[in-house]
Amino acid sequence: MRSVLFATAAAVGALVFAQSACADDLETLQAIPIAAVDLSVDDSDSHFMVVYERMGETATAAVFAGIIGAGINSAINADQDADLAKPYLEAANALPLRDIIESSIRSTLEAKGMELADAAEASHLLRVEIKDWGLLRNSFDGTQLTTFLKLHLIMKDGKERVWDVYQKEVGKQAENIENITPESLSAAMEKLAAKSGKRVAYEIIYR
Amino acid sequence: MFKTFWIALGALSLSACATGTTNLSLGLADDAAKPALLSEVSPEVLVLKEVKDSRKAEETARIGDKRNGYGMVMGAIGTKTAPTDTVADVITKTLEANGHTVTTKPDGKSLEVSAELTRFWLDYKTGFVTVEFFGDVQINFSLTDPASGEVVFTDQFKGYYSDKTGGGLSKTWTRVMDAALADMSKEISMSAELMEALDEHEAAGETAADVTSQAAEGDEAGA
Repeated sequence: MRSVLFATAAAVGALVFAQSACADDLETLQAIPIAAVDLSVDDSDSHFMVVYERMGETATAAVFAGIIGAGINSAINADQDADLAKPYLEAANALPLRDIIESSIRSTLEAKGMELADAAEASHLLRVEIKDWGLLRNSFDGTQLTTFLKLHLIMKDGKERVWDVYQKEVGKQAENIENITPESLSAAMEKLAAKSGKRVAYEIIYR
Repeated sequence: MFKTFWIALGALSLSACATGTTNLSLGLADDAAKPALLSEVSPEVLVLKEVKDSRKAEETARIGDKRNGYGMVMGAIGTKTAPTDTVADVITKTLEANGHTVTTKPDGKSLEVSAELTRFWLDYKTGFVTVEFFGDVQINFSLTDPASGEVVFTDQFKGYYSDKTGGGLSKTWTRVMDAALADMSKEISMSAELMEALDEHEAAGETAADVTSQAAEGDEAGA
């Protein structure tokens, strides 16, 4: 049982390493000609979360109780974070994150004269996948949280990937959780999503 | 024999690598600053007045902690160059990459740039099989018109980068912090509000020049 767990852990580690090595080549969008972009924003793999207890995770549980202990400890921390997220779930579910990001990218690209087109007519396809977002504790020792948003950007020229990068943004303000209301979270996330969308567009315009 | 081995191992584990301060050489690579929105306004001469260190007292002596597996602080992560100097260099390279000239000598008419460094921190989160490193740099950036003393622009710029890897030491820490600095450079380059402030100053200068030349022409005609 233990050897299976170790093998799984090693495989996951190798996969993470291999993925980061592959992604490096496409992290920067090169100065390629782009005539028209077909934009799609996908939130099917988007998860709202609070990362508080998990920020302070250590190997203590692994040392005292082995890899299974570490797994249990990790699960406990994740549960505590899920409890912290509960008061914000309703506001988070109501937030039109996808629309804000899409509209921000579209309006910024259009304002700068970049043509947007349907897939059939576009020279490049830009797919924006919304990944994890929510509140993140801003240091191991700290108590304050800030908003964060992770996007996976994939641009294709035909079938060939020309850009493949994770864009991670954090908000400008950090607060203790008792000072963060569902309303203030929504307002801060709206700002961050709009800013992230602009950033995606500018990365394309000023490539 | 074994006693000697364990003593040597103990000494090795307590050596500078784990417990002392590791000073990183951080900075923005020459090709990392790229033209963006700020390049769309007429080139300006900007005076970099100061980058003040306004970090929290507990974060000024180092930029991160070296922790062991239990989360205990074993040593410090520092920098070879003062973070304020590194940030000044990032601001200079960014503005220059956008076609502006940066000087440290005030001339009484060029906009003056001031920045307050509020955060310069490297941290990490230990996962089940990976470690996620976070680089976080924050400044309050302002532009002042020396002629009027008015602050014409102020905003907070952030440089942020995170990377999940199997682990990492000084090379990884340097890469993560350099990427955060590059991110801050992009934030500055892509600021529509900063671009507008530069544009308005340029337009105000042109208007003032027009008024002066019209007045001079009027004087000549009158004479």
